[in-house]
Order: sequence, then structure tokens, then C-alpha cells
Amino acid sequence: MSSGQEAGSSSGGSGDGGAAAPRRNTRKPKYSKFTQQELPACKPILTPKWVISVFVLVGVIFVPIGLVSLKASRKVVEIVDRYDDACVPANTTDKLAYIQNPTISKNCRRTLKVPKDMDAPIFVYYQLDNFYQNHRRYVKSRSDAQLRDPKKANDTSTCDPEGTANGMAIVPCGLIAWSIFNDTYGFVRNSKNLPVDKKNISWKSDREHKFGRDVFPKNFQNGSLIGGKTLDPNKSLSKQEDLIVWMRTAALPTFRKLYGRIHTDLKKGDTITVTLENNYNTYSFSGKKKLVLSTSTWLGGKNDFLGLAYLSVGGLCFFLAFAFTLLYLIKPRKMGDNNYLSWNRNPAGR
Amino acid sequence: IEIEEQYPLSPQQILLRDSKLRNTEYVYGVVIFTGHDTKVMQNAMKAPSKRSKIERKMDRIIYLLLSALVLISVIGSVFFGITTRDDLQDGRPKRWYLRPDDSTIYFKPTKAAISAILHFFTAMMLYGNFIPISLYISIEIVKLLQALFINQDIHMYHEETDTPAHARTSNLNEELGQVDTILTDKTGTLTCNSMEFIKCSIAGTAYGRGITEVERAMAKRKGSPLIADMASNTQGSQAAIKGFNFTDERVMNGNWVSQPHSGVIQMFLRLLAVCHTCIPEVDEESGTISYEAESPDEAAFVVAARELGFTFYQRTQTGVFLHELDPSSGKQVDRSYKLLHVLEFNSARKRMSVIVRNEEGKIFLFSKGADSVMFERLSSSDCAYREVTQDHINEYADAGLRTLVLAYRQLDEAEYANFDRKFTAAKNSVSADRDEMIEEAADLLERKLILLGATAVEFGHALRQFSVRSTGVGVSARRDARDLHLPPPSQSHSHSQTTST
Repeated sequence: MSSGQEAGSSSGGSGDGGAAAPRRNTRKPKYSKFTQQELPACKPILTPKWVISVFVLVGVIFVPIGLVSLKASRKVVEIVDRYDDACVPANTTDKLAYIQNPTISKNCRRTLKVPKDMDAPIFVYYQLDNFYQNHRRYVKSRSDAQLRDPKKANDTSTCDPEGTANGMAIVPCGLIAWSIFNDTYGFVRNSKNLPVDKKNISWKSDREHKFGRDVFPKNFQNGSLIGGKTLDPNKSLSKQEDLIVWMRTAALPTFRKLYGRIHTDLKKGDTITVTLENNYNTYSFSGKKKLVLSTSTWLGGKNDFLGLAYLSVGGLCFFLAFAFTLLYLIKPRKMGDNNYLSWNRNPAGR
Repeated sequence: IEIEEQYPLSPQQILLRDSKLRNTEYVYGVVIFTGHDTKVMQNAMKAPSKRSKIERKMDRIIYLLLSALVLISVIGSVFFGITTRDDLQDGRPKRWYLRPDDSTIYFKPTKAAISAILHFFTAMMLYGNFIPISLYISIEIVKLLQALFINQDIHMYHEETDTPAHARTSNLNEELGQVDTILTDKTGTLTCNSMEFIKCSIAGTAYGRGITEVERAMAKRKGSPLIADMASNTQGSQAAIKGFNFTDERVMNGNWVSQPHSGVIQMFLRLLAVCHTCIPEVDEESGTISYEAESPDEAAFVVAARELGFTFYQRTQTGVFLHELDPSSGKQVDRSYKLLHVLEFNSARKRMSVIVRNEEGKIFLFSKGADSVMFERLSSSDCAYREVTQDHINEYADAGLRTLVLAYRQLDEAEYANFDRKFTAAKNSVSADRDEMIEEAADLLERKLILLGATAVEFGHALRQFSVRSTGVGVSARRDARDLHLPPPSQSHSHSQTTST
């Protein structure tokens, strides 16, 4: 015998009876493709043909760029000469004592042989190794206000320990200016001097904005320790381009800085005699000093990195394209049905 | 000696938390069941922290980056200390351009350890950009925009209740869609908490031409196109009234007056309109009446009575007021019934009764309940349509409907006075066997009833609104599948379940 249902067993909640009156303002959200997230969109599907084509395209673009860059870099003619060890007298046992003794002559003569034709302009650089211009104490030891404005000559609070000497402010102050590079170079070819143009070796913005036209060196290198080159007190800082070049600090311990330009072409087989003064102390911290003569191209100096990087990536793309092509031909995998993708499914199943 | 009138303290007088008190001018208050030992206080717990998966993953990433930052700073400081100490050897500076002989504590070679420690803090500050603190702000902005999209989603709008989606907070947007299983038992059936009056049996005659969801599903499985066509045809023609899905021209629009048992039908509809605890709410502008009910089937009964000519429009503490269709004159007549007693429904009794006095002074007992308890209380002298009604009830149950049996009885004054005295005394007692005394007093009256008929109510459109299969949510339920209103796995299995219960 079948029993009936229990009566009125639903618990809680009051049910509204009767027909609802037609509402004036419904709360249904407005329809637009943006609010319902139905805007058209591009959904790429990585088929083997697409992948191989993209890899080939990248390879075709990158390998020529790499070759052109490498060729431009290889066209640069560069002469590098290290002289800090060679210029020490043969009988010297203590290099530090030698470099610090002002009575010993620091003149040195070096001979360079030109391996290829060098077209003007030829850039003369000095290169330092193991010199940390990026040390925090070194980098902070300067006063930009003082370099720019003659009224701020006494603004030396950030220049310790080279802020004042004998109770008077140093202009320019700070460790960077104090330790300016002080070697000099002269060039002779076939018993004739090669003039070195030392104008415009610094940045134009530095000369015009960061170093004042009315600021003159004062009390410079007057302390108990002399760190580097002395400056002409009668020349304003904006014209002391050696100082401006040196005060643009290098980010890495190995760096080159521009010394000057030679506007004479050098021929292959020429012999250049360099007369230099070995004044700067790199012996206490095991540094190196090098003289560099270099031409330049549209790419800059001699640097193979960019060309090799482009060639590596392009070669990798070609290799991947070839590998995928072999994989696609030898063992093809069936493409899945696009209808199973979520945006192709029936709206009813959504 | 005048005896003071006493009132019982029954569950009807208790206002639980979040209850509403209506139509009451003043009350005497008694505070009971308070303090921390009550169940509601013991259940009060601290709310768990809501942190989404994305935020927990971001925390892990931030900790990883912080560890990397500390590691980099420590290694850098160690090397800084070593090189700073080496700058001065035997009083002679190595890196002379740094002036290690004239130095502050930050770069002093003679106190390299302190310089290294200070450099650690300097490095932590300098490399602090390594930690993406703004990542939290970016994620929060993305979640805010996502919440706006959720609020504007048309697929999450419910037409029937005019309810759009509303993301109250954007913390847990990506935790949507986590439900994969619903566990329920028989008493917690998966319905929409709305019921529709669809069929009834009055004086042995079945009324109502609607097709239920279960019947439609079985017809579809058999492949009967006739029933399906009739169902779709019927569905489109009638206007939608909430809770009323009844179609039968024999009794609608006042046609029941000309039926052979019109007296029984009149009493049937009157019972539907009186025997309940609904409260009517009249809309001031449109004049329509809606009902607040304890359960949706009560509301469905009152709506059905209204649609068939017996409109319940007012209730006071002591009376119930109707607009009745008078069979003799064919017009709507206002009738009032004095409500003497209400015998509440509970799971043990499985029935509910009211005792009312009409305007002519007659006393009636109206009762409705499950057929298992109602049939045994019927008068033995009335056998005309008892078996037919039982057959109708079985058919309704097979079709997935919930049934109630309706019966009534007229009381004389002496009988009622005797009951009133015993019932009031039982209600006012505070002894342990109070419930038994109330049951005993009610049992005196709820017997020798006259059968009127039975009602059939369907749970409203559960399949259409709760499409479990398409969402991938699994449902596990005890006993038979009829309560879930889902198509049973096989027809024979369903029948065996039905017969076994």
C-alpha cells in the first residue's frame, strides 16, 4: 500500500502568493558587448606552420643585422698599448716609491706600429683597469652646485675629505676632481709631430649646463696630499675639458676616457713614437694603464657583442625552425578540433 | 468569586530572533532562554578570514622576493667589508683615491665590520624597489573591475524575482564555481520553495487537467506525442499566476455551482480559504492581495480558493474574512468566521485544524492533513467516495505531487464547551505532560470527520531553474529520486521505489 506525502514539511521562507504587478523599473542589467564581455578578440592558435614561419622570419631578419654589425665592428682599427709596467725603470724595486718621488723623471717613450690604414679622425683614449669610479664614497664626493655657480664656492659639505684645504674651500672640491688623471701623451711620426686636438672631447651638455663659465679653480691641490693633475686657475671650469671628462664617472672598474683626437690619416706600416709622462699612481691597487688609438664607424668602437648577439639569436631561430620542420614531416601530430575550444562551444553549453 | 482569565505560554507566543510582531497594540513581556548557554550563542563563532588563492600566492611570492633581497644585501655587505678592510695595509692606502686614511664610520678600514653592517641597511634601502608592493594595489583594482562585470552579467540575472547579481565584496571573485557536490536527504528536497496548485479531488471527482513534470518526462521516454502536444498547448494558453497552475472548465469561473456535488465543492473551497495561518497584504495602489504564509503550499491553497471564488482578504486576532461566491444568487458575498481555536500542524500530528463559528452561530471543525492520519479519523457512515478519493491520491503521488486530505465536521454547543474547557486547561498547564494533555484534548474533536476531497500540489518547475546536469554538479540523495524531481534512471526502478515506500 502506497502512502502519501507529508504535508507542509517545507521549513522556513515565506512564499509570495498571487500574481505580481508589472514592475515599472526592472533591475535587469543593460546589454552591451562590453559589459557582457563579448567583444571580438584575436585568439592566436600556434599551428606548426605558423610557428615555423615566425622562426624563419626572425632568423631572416636577425642574421643579416648580425653580419652587418659584426662587419662594421671588424672594420675598426684599434691599437692598445699597456705602459704602466714598461715605463718603470729597470732597476726599480718599489714601484710605489718610484711613482711618489717627484724628483724622478717620469718621461717614457713608446713605439707603436700601425697595422692597417687608419682614417681620420683617430681617437686617443686612456684606459684604466681595476679603478672603481663607482664606489659610493667616491661617487658622492662632489658638489654640483659649486661646479655651476661661483656664489656657491663655499658649498663643500658633500665633498669630504677634500672639501677644504688650509681652512679655505677647494674649487672644484671632492674626491673625483682631486684624483683627476694626470698622464700626458705626445705623438711623433717620421720625425714630425702629430697634433692632438683636445677640444670638444666632453659632452656638450656638460660644458653648457653642469660646469659654470664663471667658476675658476681655487685652492686646488693645495692640501697635504696631491691626487692628480693641477688645473689652470685662469681658465674657467667649462673650458677644462679634461676635468669634465674625468668627472663623468664610469660605471665599471675597467673604462676608457677620451684624451683627444688626431686629424691626420695614418698609413699601414707607419711607426708612431709616443712621448708620455707616467704620473698617475696605479701601482698601489694593482691597476693597469693603457693607451688606445682607435678609429670608429657608425656602430661606434670595436665591439663584437652586438653582432654576435644578433647572430646567436638568428641562428637559434633557424635551428628551431629546422627542428620543428623535421618533427612536423617525420612525425606529424593531428590538429585538435577547434570546435572544442571554449569560445567555439555552443552557447547552450556555456 | 470572579476568576482571572489565564493565557497559555505556547510556542506561538515566543518571538525568536529576527521575528516580526504585527497587529499588536501592547504586550506583556517575559524574557526566557538567554545567556551564553543558549544554542544560538554557542553556535556564534568568529568568522574565518577570507583570503583568496591569488592573495595567498602573492604573499608567498613577496616572501620569496624579500628573502632574495636579504640574501643579496648580506652577500654584498660581506664583500664590502672585506674590500674595505683591505683598503688599508700597514698604514698604506691601496685605493688611494678613496682616501681610506681619512674616513667616516661608513667606510673605515679599521672598523670594517661596523661598515659592513651599516652597508647592509644601506643596501636594503637601495634595493627596496625589488619588492613589488604595488602588486597588491594592482590586483585589487583588477578585482574591483571584475566585480563590476559580475554585477552587470545578464546570465546571472533572475527574471522571476527581478534580482541581478550583486558582488558585495571583490575579495573572493576567483573562488566562484567551486561547488561540485550537493549532499541532501529526503526532507531537504531540491525545490524552489514554491508550490503550484495543479489538481484536486472533490466528492470523488478528479479535477485539473495539468500535466506534471514527472508525467511529461515519462511520456517523453515512452514517446507519446499526444500528451506532449497537449502539454505544450495548455502551457501557452493560460496566464501565469504564481502558485496556481490549475485548469478545469468544470469548476473555474464559477461553474462549480452547476456540478452535482456543489455543496461539497463549496465546503471544500471554504475550507481552503479558512483553514490556514496566512496573513493577507493588500497593495494600496493596485488593490491586489498577496499572502504571507508559513509554507508555500498554504499560500497555494489560499490562491486556489481565491481563483475559484473564495477570496480571503482580512484576518484579525479573532476572525477571518472572506468574499464568497453565493451559489444561489451568483454574486460575491462578504462572510466572516470567528476563529475559536487553531490546532497547529506538527510532524507528529501530521494534520492541522481550525474551529470557527460562522455568522449564523454554527460551529465547524475544518481539518487537513496527510491521508495516513486523516482516513482513520473519518466517519464510518460515509463510504460513498472514500475508495475513489484514495485512488485519486495514489495517482497524484505517482505523478510526483504532494497530497492533503480535507475533511470537516459540525459541532454542537455542548461538545464545543466541553472541549474548550479541557483544551484551555491543558494549554495553561505548566506540567511535564502538557503536550500529551493538549493532544488528548484535540483528539476528542478530530474524529468522525466528513470527507471532502484531496488536493495535489507540485513543486514549481525545479528542473527548469536548477539544471544540475549542465552545471556538472553531482547530487547525492537518500531514498527515492521522486523528491528531487529528476528523471529516475529507469522507470522500473522508480516504480519499485514507490511500491516499497
